[in-house]
Amino acid sequence: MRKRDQQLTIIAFLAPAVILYAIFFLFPMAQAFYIALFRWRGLSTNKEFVGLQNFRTLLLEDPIFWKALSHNLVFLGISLPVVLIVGLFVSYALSRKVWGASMYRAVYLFPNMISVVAVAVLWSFVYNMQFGLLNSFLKAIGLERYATGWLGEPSTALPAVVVVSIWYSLGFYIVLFLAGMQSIPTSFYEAAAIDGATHWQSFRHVTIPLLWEILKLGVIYLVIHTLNIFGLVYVITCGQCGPNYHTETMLTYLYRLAFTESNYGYATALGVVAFLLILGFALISLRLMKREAVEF
Amino acid sequence: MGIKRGGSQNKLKKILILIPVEVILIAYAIIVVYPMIWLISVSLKTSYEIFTNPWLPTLKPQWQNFIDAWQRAEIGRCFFNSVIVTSISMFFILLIGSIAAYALARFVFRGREIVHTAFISGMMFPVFLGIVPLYLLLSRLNMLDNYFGLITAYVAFSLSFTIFVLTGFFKTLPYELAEAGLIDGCSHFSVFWRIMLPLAKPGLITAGIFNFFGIWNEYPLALVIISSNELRTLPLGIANLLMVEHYETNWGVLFAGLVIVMIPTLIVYLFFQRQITEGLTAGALKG
Amino acid sequence: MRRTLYILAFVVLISLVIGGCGKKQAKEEGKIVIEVASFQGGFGLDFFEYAAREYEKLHPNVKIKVWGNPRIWEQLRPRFVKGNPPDLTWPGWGMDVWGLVAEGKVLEMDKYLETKAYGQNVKWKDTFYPDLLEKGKYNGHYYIIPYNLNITGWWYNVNMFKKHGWTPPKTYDELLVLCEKIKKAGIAPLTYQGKYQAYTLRGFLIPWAISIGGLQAYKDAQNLKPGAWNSPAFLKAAEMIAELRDRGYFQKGAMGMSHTEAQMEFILGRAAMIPCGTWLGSEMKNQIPPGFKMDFINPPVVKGGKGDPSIVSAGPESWIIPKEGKHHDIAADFFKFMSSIDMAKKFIVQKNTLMSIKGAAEQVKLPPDLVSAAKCMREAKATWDMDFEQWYPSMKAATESAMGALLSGEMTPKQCVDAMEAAAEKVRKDKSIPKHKI
Repeated sequence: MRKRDQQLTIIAFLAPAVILYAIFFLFPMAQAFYIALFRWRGLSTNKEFVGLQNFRTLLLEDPIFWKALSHNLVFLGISLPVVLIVGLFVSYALSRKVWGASMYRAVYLFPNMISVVAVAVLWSFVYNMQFGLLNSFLKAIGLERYATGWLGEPSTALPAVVVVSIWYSLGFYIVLFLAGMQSIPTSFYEAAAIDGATHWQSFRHVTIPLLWEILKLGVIYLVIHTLNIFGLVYVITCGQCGPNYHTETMLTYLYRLAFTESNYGYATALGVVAFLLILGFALISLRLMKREAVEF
Repeated sequence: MGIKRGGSQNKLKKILILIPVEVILIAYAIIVVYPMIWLISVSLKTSYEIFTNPWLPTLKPQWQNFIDAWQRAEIGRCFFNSVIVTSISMFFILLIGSIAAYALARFVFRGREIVHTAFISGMMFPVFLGIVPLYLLLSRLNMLDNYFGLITAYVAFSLSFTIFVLTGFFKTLPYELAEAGLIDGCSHFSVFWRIMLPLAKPGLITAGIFNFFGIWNEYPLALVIISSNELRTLPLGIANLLMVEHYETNWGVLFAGLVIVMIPTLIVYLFFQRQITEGLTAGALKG
Repeated sequence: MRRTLYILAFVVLISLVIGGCGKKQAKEEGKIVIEVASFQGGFGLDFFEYAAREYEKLHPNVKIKVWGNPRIWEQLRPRFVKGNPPDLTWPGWGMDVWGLVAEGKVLEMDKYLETKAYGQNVKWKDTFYPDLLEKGKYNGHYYIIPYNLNITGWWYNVNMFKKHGWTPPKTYDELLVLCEKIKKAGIAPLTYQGKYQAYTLRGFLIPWAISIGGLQAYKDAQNLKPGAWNSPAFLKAAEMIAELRDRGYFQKGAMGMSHTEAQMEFILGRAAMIPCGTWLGSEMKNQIPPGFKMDFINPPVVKGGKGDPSIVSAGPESWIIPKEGKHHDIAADFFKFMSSIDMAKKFIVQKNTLMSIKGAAEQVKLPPDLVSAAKCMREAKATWDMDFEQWYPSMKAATESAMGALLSGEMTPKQCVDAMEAAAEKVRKDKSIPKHKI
């Protein structure tokens, strides 16, 4: 009786979410896997079945895809250490009650609250060669020789966009870490202090282990975010992604294939590959971070 | 603490550590805030002045920019639309998401892992991959160009993240309480509603905040689902303004539009800031 | 718990009510409603609104609903798939119109073009510049109808040239000499819209390839003839661009500029010349400082080249009637009305641009910045357009990317044209892409 009651409860609790999710999310997304097997312009209902041809072309004959993927990895490769080092440093400082902590937190999170479109437009003016904030700043401190058209130069275009992405999202990670740190009982730090631990030691031996689950969450989120990045890059580079595809990422490429080049089936195949890659990266990082959660 | 060891020396050391830390924190705050202050300053200039005098505050502020932006993007109506869409979506996301997350975290049953994985993996899916199929589906159900369709899509698309966050929170809750409630004769739902949900408040707040801003700023889904100008949400309105001004080369108006959009966001944000703090404190007290 | 259920019910109710409100009343008391969807760019929508009101006066049983968006193609795409497109549309540069034609989504216009034009005693067909109308043909039938017309060339700052005693360059050699002088005067000789390399293809590479190898060299390239994209003509043109680049005649930082940013540099006098279409004046009308004067020239030609110096780049912006629209005849008739000589003249005056309609530009007093461009168009022995970008959208990205790499110094001229040829080769080999010829 009790058992049946419980089963009914489970069904009742899950049903709304499962139904909505299945119909309005999984069903359209699953269709994507199916569409990936076709040559389809995405302009009418005419499709031609081509099997795995799209995947073969993508993985074996498409240098732009690999270039785009490598740019996503640059996003991840730069963001990850910055988020872990700067993010943890700042959130640790804020959690230890520095002066103005709550104000800083509010400020840092704010970029995350603005629309991506607005952020992108704002920053493309920061990087403007002639009147942008950055070059004017360099000029003001006498480093004018380094002033350049940041978004046009092959060597600076991608890093410039990565910087915006970090500027935009770092606050999120800081608040996330901070939430975790604040849930660590102060008595733990007091005990560490009694043992004569330095800041670094208590950070290393108290904060990090107790924060582990949150760190995992942050890393997964970062992986998803950097491999899925689209809006910022798209608006900053006007969707053109620069000479020689300098800022092309998987999704900007997907977007162009699907919507400009009417290569919808192929674009969908790219989407499927991107999905699998993100899943793979997420699983790998989970595996790497596997560790027994510390209970307290 | 209690034990004193070279008190004044310790204090000095503390200050020596604190000063560089404060400097770094302030520098970071400036990097975040300064572009926005610059934005406000250029939003009061003509395009000509933006190019010729990007730095100093203008002597002839162009308040007209704000009037133009307000009127052209119909910010007032867009704002109202966004409030309605976002708040209704949030309500359903949190309600549906939390009961599902509770079931996934609390009970052991066959197929649990599959359901959980299905939800979580949704986070990794590029959104616009499903946009055309979704459009066809909504049009078959007559859910295009109205809020019902948009909200349904938002709820469905946000469940992944919400369930991901909330399952984590529910897992850490002490279930002895729930058992006690059941023995007392409460139904599963009232145990969830009266006992477990209040305990998961920090999780709800975390999920709620990120969903709020996610939906508040959402663009691609709104673009394909909404086509009437009267139903435009804020991101649609501002994107429209941006693109029109880009063709007409009115950067001043464009920047004024950005400022107008940012101000309510800032106010909402400052208002929620207290909620966040409370939620986090509650989180710190749990367990 | 009960309270929650009440709240729930209340919210559901509200969302249904709002959802219900969202559906607009489609019927307009027995009138036929025509939906016109237009790209909302620099020309705005007001002219089409105006034309709609005028048309409604003539046809009281018709109600024309005009709407638009700067990214309209994103909204139209699913509607085409679904089969409920608008009745008439200018889907903007983001839409793969030829793809739509190939998919049978566009109405064939032949029978309408044979009807009598509005306001002139000729067939509608004969009111267009024939070249421009022919461009919209596929398998011998007309599908894509040109409307307003853009002539592309170079613009120079008239007062600056006057002040320094410079004359606009007619040949490439003159250009080199002039650029040196401009550079010495502390001004950037040339700037360009680096974020959109279509401007530099149209302003530098293709006109020079045509000037060197003749129009045929470019026709071969568009027709995907093997070896046409990296032919000596294209290679030489690329080398000329590299020469300008190496001598520092391009404005520093232009690579990262959007179209409006680069154009602003030109208007502010920080660059002397810029490649752009005839929309430049209307695009920048809010910013042009008093006293600023610019004029249009054809890109300087290469001495001894095969191409006729009068050949000009002319590209129309075109409209289509979706096949699955509900009111073909009225939509076609409204478009015919919109492209009548009277409307065309009004469009020129109001929007500061040229039209695909013959004679319209001659009958009005043109704005000063269009006079030279219109003259070039009138005197041109032939015109060309970047049709390949519309025919084969994948070539658009490839050629623009290579062009950018050439200008940023990442590719040598040889690598640049080879990359373009490789893109052409890919399209050539792909049997699923319908091929076009010019």
